[in-house]
Amino acid sequence: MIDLVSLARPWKPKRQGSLRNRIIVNSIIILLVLVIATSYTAFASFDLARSVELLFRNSISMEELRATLRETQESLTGYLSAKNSESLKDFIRTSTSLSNMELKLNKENKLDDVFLLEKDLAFLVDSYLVSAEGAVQAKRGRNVTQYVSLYEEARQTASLIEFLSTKMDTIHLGQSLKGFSSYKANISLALVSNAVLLLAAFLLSIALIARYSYTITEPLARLSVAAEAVGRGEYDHPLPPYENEDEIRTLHDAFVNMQDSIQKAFAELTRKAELERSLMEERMRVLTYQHRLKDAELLALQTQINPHFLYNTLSAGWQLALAEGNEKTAEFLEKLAAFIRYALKPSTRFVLVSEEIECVRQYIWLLKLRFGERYRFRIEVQDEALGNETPALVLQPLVENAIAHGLRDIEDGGDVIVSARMEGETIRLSVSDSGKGMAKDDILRALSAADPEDTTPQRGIGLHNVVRRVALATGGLGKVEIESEPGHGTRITIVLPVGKPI
Amino acid sequence: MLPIVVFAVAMIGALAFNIALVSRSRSALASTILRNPAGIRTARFHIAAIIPDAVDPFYGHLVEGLREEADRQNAALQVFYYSASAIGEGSNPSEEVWRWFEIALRSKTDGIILFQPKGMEIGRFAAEAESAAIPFVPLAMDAPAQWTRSGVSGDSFSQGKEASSLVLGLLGSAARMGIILSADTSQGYALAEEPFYRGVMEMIKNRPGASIVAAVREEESILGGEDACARMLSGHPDINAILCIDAKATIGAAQVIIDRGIVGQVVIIGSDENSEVNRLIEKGVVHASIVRDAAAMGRSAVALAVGQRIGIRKPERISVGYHVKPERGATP
Repeated sequence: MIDLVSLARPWKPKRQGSLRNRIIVNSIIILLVLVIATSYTAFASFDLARSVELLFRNSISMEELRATLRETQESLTGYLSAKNSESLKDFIRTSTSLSNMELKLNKENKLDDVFLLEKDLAFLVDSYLVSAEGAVQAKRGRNVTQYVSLYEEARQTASLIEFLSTKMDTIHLGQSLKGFSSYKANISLALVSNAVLLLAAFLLSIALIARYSYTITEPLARLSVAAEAVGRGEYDHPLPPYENEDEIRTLHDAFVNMQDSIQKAFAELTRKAELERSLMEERMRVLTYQHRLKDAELLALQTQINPHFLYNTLSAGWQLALAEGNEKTAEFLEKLAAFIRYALKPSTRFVLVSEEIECVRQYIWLLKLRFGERYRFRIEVQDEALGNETPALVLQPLVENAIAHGLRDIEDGGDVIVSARMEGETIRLSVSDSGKGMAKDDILRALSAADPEDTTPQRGIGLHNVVRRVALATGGLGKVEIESEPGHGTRITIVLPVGKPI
Repeated sequence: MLPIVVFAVAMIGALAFNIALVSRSRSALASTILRNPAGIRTARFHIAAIIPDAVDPFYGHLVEGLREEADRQNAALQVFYYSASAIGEGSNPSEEVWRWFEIALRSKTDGIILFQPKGMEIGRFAAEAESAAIPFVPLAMDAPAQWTRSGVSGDSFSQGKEASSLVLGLLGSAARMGIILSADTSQGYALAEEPFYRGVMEMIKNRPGASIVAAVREEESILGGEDACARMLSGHPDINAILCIDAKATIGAAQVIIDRGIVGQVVIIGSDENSEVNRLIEKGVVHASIVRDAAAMGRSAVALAVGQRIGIRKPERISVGYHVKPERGATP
């Protein structure tokens, strides 16, 4: 498996969001600049509003002070001339108001012309109140000379207050006008600079948007072209380098890594395919060897049971027996020779069931010649089975085994039954005996010969031979079944498919 | 990239310009209308100065000197201006001067400085200030005889001598001088009694041939100097030197000389200085100017008032000097 992670470039989290951060920071800066400009303009407007309010308030305050002073002076005059209590009450009320106003005025030596004027005014009002109250007290004390003098002093001071407050109004207005003029001159330019600022901010925003759009879309377009090329199979399509440290770089690097990974993956797959092809060829070679080995094995088995020279020898013996007039021997040799001729033919051939049964009959004749009536043979054949094909020389070894192993140690001989019959789509050829039966291990060992890879050592070569040849000749479609119980005989059945074998 | 840089610079520049302009606008309001008493420094002393509202730069320099010294003495200076025609009936000050004086007196200031035009009677001012225990310092172009205690003045007599000395140095016995004196606020104050005139006379009395051909007073108006000079030259075309009592007369005389195309034929010795006088000196229209040290007068007056207030100085009479511009022998 390809380790894609190891192929990838080192991950750089710092790139994450850098482009987005730049966009956000730029937007915030522009907004901040506009907010600052707007705030400054708003502060200036607020100051202007306060100034106008203060101007009116000062003007009204001065006017109220003058009005209160006049009322005080009138009530003082009224009291001094008529000495009635109403005038006195009015004087006390208005002088108190005047005193309260005086308290609000500056009395310090401020380094400012207007505040110094306020101080002058405060002291004048104070001086006026002292004179006026002194006049009232003198009036009460009936000191005519004093209250006349103090009244005159109060009147003169009142005149000065009127004069000074009027001057202050003028000065206030003059200073205000100067301030407003300066404000207007500057604020007019500020409005122009505001317009320039807004225009510059607008153009800067447009320029930034255009730049970021290009920054984002241009590399994406290149990536898109490269992706299309990869889609067409051009896995080595070159992608121009991308220098900026941002999300596009991450995408770019990931794409380049993907290209590398795909190319390496393809190289790996190609190498594997080549390897598998080599393995397949090797396997084919091994199979060929195995096939040849089987052929050699079959040939060896065939050689084991059918020495060729016997046929020629027997033929010579038969001719000799005829020449000597020994008919019984001649018949024996004739049948033996016929049997051997049948057996000498290639064991891989297929023969008719009838031919195989005939071979078994000849073999039984030979056995009877040897053993007499010790063994009883019976052949049960269905006619339908005779026309089908079977691997050659599969029944004779089973009959031989039945005599040699099943019935050999039984004194009164036994029965051997050979049958051939159809069962469904199969032909069943069987050899059964009434002998001592087979052990389970022997049965399993014998049936294991059906496996081509089997190398288990065999005691009964004939059975092993039959099982192996049935399996090989039918390509595994045919099989051998063994039914046996110790002391109750053995039945070996060759089951073959009907029709031409594989 | 270039447009972004350009627009960014434009935006930041516009922002800075905008902030500067708005700050100036707010400062304009803050310094005139929205003054915060807590943000304004409080001085130890309060000095009131009552000064003529005259166009002559002398008074401008005088106020500069007053402010300079007030700042140094930690004093808040309050300047009250009265109209130049401040002399009322007889030699009495005008009602306007009285009002300012009364205001300064009742405000319990730490000193009152009053510029005294020629002929103004100030005895009552001094008496009232003394009864209120407020230092009173009168100022005058020339110390009047009535000053008995305190005062700061210039020296027009010496100024006249210096001016005529310069003329005599140039023209010698051929000098035929015309003199422009300041507006007559003394109502009948004789020309020959003017200290400046007397200084000139003093200088030429030993120089036979040199003479004062004419002397006129300038009107108290912007074009007073020109008018006076024109009148004088019309009546006396043989004048070859004009001596001026102040900057206004100097500028007016120079203008007449230029208009008549006689620059170089008539020597102008001016008084005081401002940018226009200096320019005329540089151009050679005005030969020299006798610069009275008005700022020194202002500085001396404030220092004297504060000194008396805190008891470290006693009333005294101070005469400030002058200097010649350009200095003798120097090239304009």
